[in-house]
Amino acid sequence: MTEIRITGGAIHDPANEVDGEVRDLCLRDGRIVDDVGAQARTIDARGMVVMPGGVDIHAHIAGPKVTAARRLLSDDRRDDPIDRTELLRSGTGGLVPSTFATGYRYSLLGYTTVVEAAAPPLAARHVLAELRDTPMIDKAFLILMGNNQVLFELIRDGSAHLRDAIAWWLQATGGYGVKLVNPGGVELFKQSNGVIESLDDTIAGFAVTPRQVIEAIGSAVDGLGLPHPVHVHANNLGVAGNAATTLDTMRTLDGRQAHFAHLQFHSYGGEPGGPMRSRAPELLEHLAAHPEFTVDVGQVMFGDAVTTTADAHVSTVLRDLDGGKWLNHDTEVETGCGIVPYTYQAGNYVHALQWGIGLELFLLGGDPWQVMLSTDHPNGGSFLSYPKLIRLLMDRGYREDQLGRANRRAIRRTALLDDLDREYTLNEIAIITRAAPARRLGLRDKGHLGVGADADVTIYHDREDREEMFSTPRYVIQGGELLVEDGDLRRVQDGLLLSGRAPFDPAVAEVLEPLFGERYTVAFDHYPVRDPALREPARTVEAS
Amino acid sequence: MTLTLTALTSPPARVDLSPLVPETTRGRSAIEVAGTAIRCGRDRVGVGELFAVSGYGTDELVLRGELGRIDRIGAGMRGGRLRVEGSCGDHVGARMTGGEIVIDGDAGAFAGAELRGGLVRIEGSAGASAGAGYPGTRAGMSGGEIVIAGDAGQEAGAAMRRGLVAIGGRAGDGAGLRMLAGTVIALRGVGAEAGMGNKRGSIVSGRPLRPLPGYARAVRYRPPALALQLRRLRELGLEVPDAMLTGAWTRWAGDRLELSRGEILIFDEEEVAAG
Amino acid sequence: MSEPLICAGCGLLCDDVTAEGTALTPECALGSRWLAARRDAGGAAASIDGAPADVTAALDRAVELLGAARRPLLHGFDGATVEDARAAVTLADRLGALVRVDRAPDPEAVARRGSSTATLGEIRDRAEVVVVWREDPEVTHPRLLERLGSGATLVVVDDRDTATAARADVRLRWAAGRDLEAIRSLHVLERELPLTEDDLAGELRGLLDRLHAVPHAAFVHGPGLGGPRAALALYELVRALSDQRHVVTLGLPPVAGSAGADAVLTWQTGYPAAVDLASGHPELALAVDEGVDVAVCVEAPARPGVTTIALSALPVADAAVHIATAPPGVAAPGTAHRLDEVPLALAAPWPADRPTAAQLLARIGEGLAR
Ligand code: SF4
Ligand SMILES: [Zn+2]
Repeated sequence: MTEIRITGGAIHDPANEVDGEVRDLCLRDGRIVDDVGAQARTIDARGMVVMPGGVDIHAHIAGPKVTAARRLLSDDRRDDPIDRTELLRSGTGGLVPSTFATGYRYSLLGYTTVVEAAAPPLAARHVLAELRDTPMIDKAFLILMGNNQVLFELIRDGSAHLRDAIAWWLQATGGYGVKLVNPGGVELFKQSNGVIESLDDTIAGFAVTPRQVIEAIGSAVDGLGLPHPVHVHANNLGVAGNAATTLDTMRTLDGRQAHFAHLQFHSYGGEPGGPMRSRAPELLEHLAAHPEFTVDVGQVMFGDAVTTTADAHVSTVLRDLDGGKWLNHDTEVETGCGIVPYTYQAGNYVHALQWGIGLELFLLGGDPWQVMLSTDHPNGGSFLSYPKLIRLLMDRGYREDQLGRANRRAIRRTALLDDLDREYTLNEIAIITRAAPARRLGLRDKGHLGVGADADVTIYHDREDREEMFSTPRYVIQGGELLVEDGDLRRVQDGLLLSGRAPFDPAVAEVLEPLFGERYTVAFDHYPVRDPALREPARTVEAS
Repeated sequence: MTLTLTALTSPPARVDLSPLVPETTRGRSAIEVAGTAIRCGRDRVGVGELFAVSGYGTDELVLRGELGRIDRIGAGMRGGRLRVEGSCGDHVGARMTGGEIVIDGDAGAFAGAELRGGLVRIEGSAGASAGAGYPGTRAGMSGGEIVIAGDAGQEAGAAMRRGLVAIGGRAGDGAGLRMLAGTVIALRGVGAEAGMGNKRGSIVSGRPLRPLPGYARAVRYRPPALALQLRRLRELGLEVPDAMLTGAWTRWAGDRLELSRGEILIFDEEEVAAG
Repeated sequence: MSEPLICAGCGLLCDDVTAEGTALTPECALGSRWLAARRDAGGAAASIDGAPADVTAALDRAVELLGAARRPLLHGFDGATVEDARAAVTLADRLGALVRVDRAPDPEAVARRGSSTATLGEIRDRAEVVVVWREDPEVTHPRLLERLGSGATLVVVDDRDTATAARADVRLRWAAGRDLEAIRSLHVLERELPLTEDDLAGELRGLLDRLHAVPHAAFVHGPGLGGPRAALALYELVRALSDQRHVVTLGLPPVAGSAGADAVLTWQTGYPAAVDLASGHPELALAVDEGVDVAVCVEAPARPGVTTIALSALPVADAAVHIATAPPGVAAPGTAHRLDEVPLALAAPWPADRPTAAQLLARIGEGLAR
């Protein structure tokens, strides 16, 4: 195993309260250690910034919906080919890159861990196979549980087996955590193109409400002690006035650990169908009072995106906006899927407001440990736009220049013109892009540079242009191996599959089997993924 | 002397000739050009292995010999003249932005695909998807002219946004598929299933045609704008019967499943008989 | 003794099956034929130009042929697993080859406009009208109607008296050549635009009334719906109908391996169906395979007239090299994608001492690297 000594860099390791201290960092056998021998390879990091590898808590990179998006967007990748080399597989880029390209580009960006945030458990084999073809990064996926008819039945009946069932599902799929997407609403959409109006609406045919689903699954995940709490994409995404639903959802989960995905898309005031306003300040206030909650922002970036979601109703709304491409796929018992290519325009009122609300969430004084960076790739923009987003946060002059280009009317409805002079420090960037996501994911060995941590390290030139700085790290080291130097991939490796696990009573199978028989077209025995080739190399993170 | 490439034999696999356009050969000697690497199947070979190269690079480039396996001739070209003495492979002039390509013989599929500007003239016939967008694209050809003296294959002008595809012979089925605007003319008629999803484009058929459901017969008239366009076709060397300039056409409006601002114009044969 | 089995006799991948000998329960003639052909595939482990050879010699010959090829093609995948396809695209990338999933659905309509689809269970539990459009699943996917349940009104569009048509509640019998016109007319009616009256108008109005009367409907289609423009028109119709109700399509692939292979090709390269890697990166292969000099055919019939390296459980006529594989789902495990894209793990109830296509493709890759 290689030994590396990184000398002279300014260390930004907020989890260990290190803020720019210049000192050496030593790596051995894939871990951070106190010291290494004299024969260790030395990386001269003088004048550079050293951070833990990036951790993306919410993105869409693998599985049937991502491949469906690739099919839909064959035009988007044509001008972004990636050539095969001795080391690398060929591929294509664009908004939804091919699998190898996804791994390479995340690594080139200094990211070492990425979470696929919405996998249908029924398609776990497909998700796993794609992740296996996504090299470099360590990866995990969250399984969609918020519209699962079997769980609806257990919840309705107040079954004591709910926790066991969730743990069983993680075990069956290799998933890392539990995701709720528009709980109850996707089932309603599949039933009748319906939408949830209140958390107390009854989900037809199941005699449960979204509130009961959120409450029961949130509590179950909390009770299981899974490494990552319930990950919530709340009801009514994108709808004016949805902040009320978001707050209601938060209140429902009060006192329990929860992560709210792409909060920007859930922070709107106004009336459904009417003009949108920002309610970001209120949501931030609520968060400040509830340390048990975290969020990622889901910033939209002006330019092309592709909305790729389990919340298929939203896709039909976007479909009808401009009549462009639309793909829908209903997955029995579990979920839906909608895909619509979309362009966020600076001059458009709604888009500029969305952009502004995202920045408000970042800038209005929230705790960076609670408010993490995401674009909900590729929904708000590609992960490749993270460096630009970082510059927006760190560079007030640049931000004001960009503000000037956005729809005035929209920006006036945000707090961005109120002399908002906050500029993120390097440590705060390190928090929102690695330390906080890793902590929230329960990845104790990631997101920091303390002794014993994974040797996932990204080293940047300390450039004034933060976009440039974060676009092309000087070095990226993962698992103690040097993978990237100055924008070039030097070594290719498979990342780890991270799975979450909690013990469960195997007798739950007797409860689930008959319910499966009634609902699924796949036999209970054939549902769990057993093929070791799909599940390795893995690291299992146990419940605590 | 103009730079001339003469194919030595038919190459063992398909060749991507896009690196050689007047812009890149201008001012270069035959020996230099012969040393340029191009792709043949999965290999890279020197131009000299496949072509005898003579002359000196100017604004004009001439290709001769058996060119049926030579693809992407003039693809992405921005100016100058390219003359193909014979028939060529696929994607000739694809995404070109300016200049002129003349093909004495037939062209393969995707001739002038996603053309941005300039002129592609095909003296023979063109394969499928002449002037079309590549699969999945929301906007194909956005300018320039494609003139085909013979017939065109299926889906000519699919997804086009602007410009002209003029066909002296017949257009295959599915012409003008999902076109946004622009014009596809086939003097000897367009095939079935024309204009599906057409938003604002014009499809002109010199022979009778039964438009798809979604098109509605609008008017029978002598369209002055079309006469103008047909005269332009004459200038471009197509044989346009006088009757088409003076005779009556029937206009079908559609695709009504889309914006319904497009049209299919069909020449009235009765008028020919009468004239 | 009866063995539980996931049948790969067609894209339905029925996973509730047991086999006794080659008889399946629940009964399925197609599935039995599929199993029988693979349980006694027998034959030489390998052959070179028709003469029996050992596997190593056959692999050497394959490496030699591919090493010299100017325009190699990897194709087939009719009966291949996801693992086979993965290995094939990996090798194709190394070779700079063309890859074609022979029986993949035409990707054009989806790339142009998208589509709306669902898994079998969604259709079974919700659709009240199922329109089978010029397909005969009773023959090609014998248990489809059973697996979709008996709740829905079955409408069959076909002018042939097929076994499926015999089970229809409603039959619509226009000729194949009028399908596009019919779909477009339905769409015109759906939009409440005037329709030029013709002989189909009455039947079409009747069908539309049925669709309007229910909250869920499904269209089952396949190669019978001639060409990508008809598929495009169908997807557009489904989209229009989806405004007021939930409507989906279910494509019937002609073989069991194509869905998985097509997914692999798409995730590894970004493009479906046919991809050219000759330039060093993936390009959508649009033209015909003219000029191919050596083909590697994976679990499928070979193409006539091309020097072929066949990696296949079943015998392949006229192959320059044939290496017999362990039949997926019978003798070798692997992943397959059901026609609705649900991935399933094929079992190997009767393991055989033969390699999989994936293993052979990897060995060819190693041979080429030497
Ligand atoms: S329907 Fe198809 S998969 Fe099912 S048993 Fe018959 S052949 Fe096998
Ligand atoms: Zn998301």
